[in-house]
Amino acid sequence: MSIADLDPVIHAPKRLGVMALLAGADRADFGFVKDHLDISDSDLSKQVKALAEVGYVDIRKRGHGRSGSTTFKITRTGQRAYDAHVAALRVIVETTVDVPEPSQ
Amino acid sequence: MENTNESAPTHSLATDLAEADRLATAAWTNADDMPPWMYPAAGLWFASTLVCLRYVWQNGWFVVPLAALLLLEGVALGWIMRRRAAQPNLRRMPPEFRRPVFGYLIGLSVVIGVSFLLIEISPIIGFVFCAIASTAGLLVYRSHWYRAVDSTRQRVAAT
Repeated sequence: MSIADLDPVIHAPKRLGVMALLAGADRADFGFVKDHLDISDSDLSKQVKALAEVGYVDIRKRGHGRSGSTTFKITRTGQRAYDAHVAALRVIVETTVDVPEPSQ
Repeated sequence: MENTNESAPTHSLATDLAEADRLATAAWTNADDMPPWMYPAAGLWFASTLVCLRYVWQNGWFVVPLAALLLLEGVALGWIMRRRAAQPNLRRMPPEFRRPVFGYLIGLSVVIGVSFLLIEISPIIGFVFCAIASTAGLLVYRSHWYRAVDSTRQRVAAT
């Protein structure tokens, strides 16, 4: 495993956050994801759109206006990509030896 | 400079990983104490109440409070489902939640089974048992659920 094994789409911290939230949920609504990532509506829309374009996230919109809701669900492809990305991250973090600071 | 060029990216990846681990449990630790897959179980609960209703139908006045109880339960379930922001993924259940979830299902089975047996003997005793045991069971389940939430949060925070 190396940094090259990391998924470039998921690697951005906000998108990794979206994928992590959705990996633990069957379906999550827009507000839930936004609150946990502490980002703006437009930013979240942009990040989720990027994930949906590669087939990692399914976006479902119901109704219009204030009574409408937008929910997200991670797809099987997305789940596999997320698991592989996190596994690669874990291996890299656990196998990397910290360089000791030089003594003064 | 505290970090060398070699350790800086590793630290960033470790932070990303810790954050991902924390967020992956958010749907569980922020969920209500009755996840969606337990609604069928709640349906069974309703069924046992309905059986009580059927047996006491002849007693006239008993129907009114039972119907009100069923309506109240339906409204409460609808309210819980409406305010749910994320449905926890059962396949990604944190280990801390296994005990409350499976304990709930076992407890529910016992309550329903005993209630049915008691209803055959006396509908009123069966109904009273079902109401008291289910309330007590839910209270126990609720306390275990929130304990699991706390321990999951502590575990994730410690990593």
